Amino acid sequence: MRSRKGGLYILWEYKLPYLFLLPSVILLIFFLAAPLISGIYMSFQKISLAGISEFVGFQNYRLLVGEERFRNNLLLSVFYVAGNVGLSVPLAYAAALLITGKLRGTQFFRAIFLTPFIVTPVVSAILFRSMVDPSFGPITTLLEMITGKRYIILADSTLAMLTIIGHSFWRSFSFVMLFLAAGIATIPTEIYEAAKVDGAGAWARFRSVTFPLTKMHLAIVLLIITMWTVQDAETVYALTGGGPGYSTEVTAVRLFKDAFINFNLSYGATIGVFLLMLSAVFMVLYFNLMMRGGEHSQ
Amino acid sequence: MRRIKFEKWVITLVVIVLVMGVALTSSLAQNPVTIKFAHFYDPMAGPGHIMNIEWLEKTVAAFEKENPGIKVEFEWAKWDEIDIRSIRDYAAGIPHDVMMSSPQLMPKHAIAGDYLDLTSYVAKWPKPRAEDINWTPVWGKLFPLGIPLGIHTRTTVYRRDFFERYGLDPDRVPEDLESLIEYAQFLTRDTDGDGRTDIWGLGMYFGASRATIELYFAPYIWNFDGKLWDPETKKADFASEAGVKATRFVYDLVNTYKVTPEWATVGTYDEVGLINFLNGTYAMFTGFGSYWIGPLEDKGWVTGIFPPKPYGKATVADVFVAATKPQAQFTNAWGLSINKLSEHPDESFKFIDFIVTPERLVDYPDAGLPTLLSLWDTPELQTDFYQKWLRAAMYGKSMPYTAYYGELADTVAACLQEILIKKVPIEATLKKFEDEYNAKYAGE
Amino acid sequence: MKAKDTISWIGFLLISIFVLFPLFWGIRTSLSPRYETSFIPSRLTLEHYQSLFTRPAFLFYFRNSLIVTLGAVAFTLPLALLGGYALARFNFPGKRFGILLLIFPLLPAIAILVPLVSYMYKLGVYNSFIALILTNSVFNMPFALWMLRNFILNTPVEIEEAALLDGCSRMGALCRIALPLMLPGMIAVILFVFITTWNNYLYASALTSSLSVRVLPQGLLSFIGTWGMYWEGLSAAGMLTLIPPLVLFLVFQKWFIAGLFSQWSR
Repeated sequence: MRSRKGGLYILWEYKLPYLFLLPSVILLIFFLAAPLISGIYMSFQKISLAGISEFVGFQNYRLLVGEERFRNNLLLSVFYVAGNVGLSVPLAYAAALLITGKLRGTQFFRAIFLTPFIVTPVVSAILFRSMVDPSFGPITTLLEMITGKRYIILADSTLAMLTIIGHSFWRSFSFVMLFLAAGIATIPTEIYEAAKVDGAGAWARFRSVTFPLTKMHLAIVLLIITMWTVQDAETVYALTGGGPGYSTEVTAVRLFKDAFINFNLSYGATIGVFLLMLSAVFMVLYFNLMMRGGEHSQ
Repeated sequence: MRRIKFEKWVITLVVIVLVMGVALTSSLAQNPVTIKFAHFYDPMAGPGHIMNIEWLEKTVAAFEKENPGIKVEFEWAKWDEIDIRSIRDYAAGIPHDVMMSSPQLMPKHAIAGDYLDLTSYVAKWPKPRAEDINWTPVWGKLFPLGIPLGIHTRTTVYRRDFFERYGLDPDRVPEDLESLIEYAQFLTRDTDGDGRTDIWGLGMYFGASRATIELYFAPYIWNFDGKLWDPETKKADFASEAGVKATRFVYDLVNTYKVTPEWATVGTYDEVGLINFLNGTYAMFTGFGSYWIGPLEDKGWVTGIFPPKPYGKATVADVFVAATKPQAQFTNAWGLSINKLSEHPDESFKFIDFIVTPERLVDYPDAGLPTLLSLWDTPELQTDFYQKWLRAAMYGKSMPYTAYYGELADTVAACLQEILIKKVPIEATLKKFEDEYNAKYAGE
Repeated sequence: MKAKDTISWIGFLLISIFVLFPLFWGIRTSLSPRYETSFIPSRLTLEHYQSLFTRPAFLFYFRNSLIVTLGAVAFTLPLALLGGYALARFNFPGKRFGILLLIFPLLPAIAILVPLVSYMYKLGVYNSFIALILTNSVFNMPFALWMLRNFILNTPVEIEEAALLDGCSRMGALCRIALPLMLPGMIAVILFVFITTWNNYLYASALTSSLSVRVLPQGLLSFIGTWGMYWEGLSAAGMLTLIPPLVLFLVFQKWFIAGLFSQWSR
């Protein structure tokens, strides 16, 4: 038992781990933490183009919360994430179950399946945009064959939103599927055998064996996907530019426009803080899911 | 002995001083000053951009030859990012020298303070030279923070062959909004009998871009004697009675008379405009830019127009000035500015001075229409075609002088899209968007 | 069990179509003549790929992207390895702050761009590869640290402890014994940093101003030009950009999956 003496002693005592961590910590503090703090500080100021800043307290926050467009931005971000997650959970689970089955050839396919995740985001966004193009897009044609009406997909608020959700889902689907498949693969087959002996059907097996035992995997991968989706301005902007009107302007796109295109630093910083809070809310949500999952397994 | 030693020392000292002096002066003379020139021509973006890059390289080579102590290096930013880039880098303390700039964002630059005031330099120009350039409406929008390179304006382009095919005189064109609508309705046709319109009478664009407010809303609000933004109260004014009338006009084009396609709200300005016009989708297209004259020549729809020749003629495609009361379309120009943090402002201005001369600008591909009056006097630009563009340039107007022009443009575009697509009540929606803009930016 | 098999195969087919269709569309577009409107192109052409290679710019950006990406990987890996090892194997005051690492990825980079650019300029590395390497590394660091920490936690300690008993120093244990075991985790980090840096546009455009340090994602945006959208060229360029990371993933996928996913199996 080492006695805990003064600070310097601790430094010496644990010199090795501190040393190992030092370069990373310095970089993170300098390049991430400091700008973050200055960003939060900026959100409480009004910064003119000339660089003159004055302290205005919560004025930026009040203005934004009172603005219908911004409230809509936040709502759209939630829809965007919910849409992606809502599609991912059932579909990726089903797909994961499929590929952990008998199909051994999936080794090669795994890399190909990860391609949506690997393609440059702007490229896949433009590809989707060309797929829903009013004159030659295959999806427009398909929709026409099904419904008989030739929609201008990106000119319709709902369809445009569905397109960006679809694109985001397409990009993350394989990732979620493979992650869950890895999780399912860790469940020993004996448990399944036991369940089958007990007379449990496929759905019951899923509900009582597969789902509880992979709850943590699900929470982790959903957290990762949510973070990507919430911060994603690049692909939404390339697909719809936030339009038509403001109907696909998720908070990240709003931030991109205000901070990057219009160089409005105070609003940009404030929206950034909102985005951070949004991400934090989702994180807390998933941790709760994970905690409860931990209790219920076995 | 002592005397000789002393003399030796003096001689050595003098020699050393002389050598140092020569070395110093020669190094000073040879020390090249490097200035950076920021432009947006992208070597990967096709022949249009490459032509401009070649022109720039040629011009720089000639400049460096005339001024052996100065070297020019290129910098690059996307055309729609270059102004903000300057402001952002100024805030971060990063210097630039000569930069291309746009007049719509000049108010922003004026407040941000990232461009140098060029009055003192231009004051040194001889009077004829100054008058050669300061006649154009775009001068006032750029100067004193920038010097215009070329005028960009817009007209309405139309297919003479369609006019002839359907029995219209191709030399008679609509001159007000009512006849514009009539012509458009007459020319909108379903040529293959499949129930879908194949030729649209009047093409327009309402996408998420600044082009929407500039070319497809402003001319109409001006027609009804309104303005986008009130310079006295410094508030957005597009929800006024004139604004409502203008909005109703474009709304009717799409939804009532159906002469403009609904997909005008989707895609980029070039796709909806140039590409579709060249594909024969439109009988007329308004907001056609002077930067698109070249493609018309490439398609063979005009001859001897680009590069301009005295015998130039519009054969298949022709233009007419905006069919509104003030005949005003948006007119602007790319300009050259000097960054405030530049360490070599004098050399930078030398470069600008070198470029903005008739000899250099005459074959600048992106010039659009010449800013220099002297260039207009040539027989090449006396053709009917170019005279119409000159009229458009002279009647042209510019965008509101506010630092939040970008936000204003986005607000109006979003508002128009809401109205056109969701068919919501016009007055109420305009008011809503105007209030939202004013809540944040009124008074600036 | 025949029915179950057919369902599996049908399901598999559906998944493949869903995942691969947009890519197929991209390849189709890259090989079609310009303004082709029908689904199956009337003829196939390599002109877009050819035009990419004849413009020296594209290969140049390719090389630049490689420099920045490999640099970022080389910079991130050792730091993340050391840090992750420390967080996993040692007990020290402040260890619990490690959870903060999960907060950093929540940070939207756009919001802190201006102070970041200003720092880079003051450091004298603005408009250089170093700025890009540094920024990409830093933004990938939290995730890399976390991944390696978890992976190392899953690697049995006994082997290292045995080495220590045999008289190895901590450092020696790390190098000679633990490192080979951590290979999957390291590969996972390498691939992850590679792919995010390879595709990154934001930092590249904010931190560079000359064409000599331009990277692929910026080059791709050239096709969305002021003279219309050159779909075919963009698709061709996009397909080519896809190749290096795809090849890497194909070769190392076993380790990648093991490294990324097995960390959660505790």
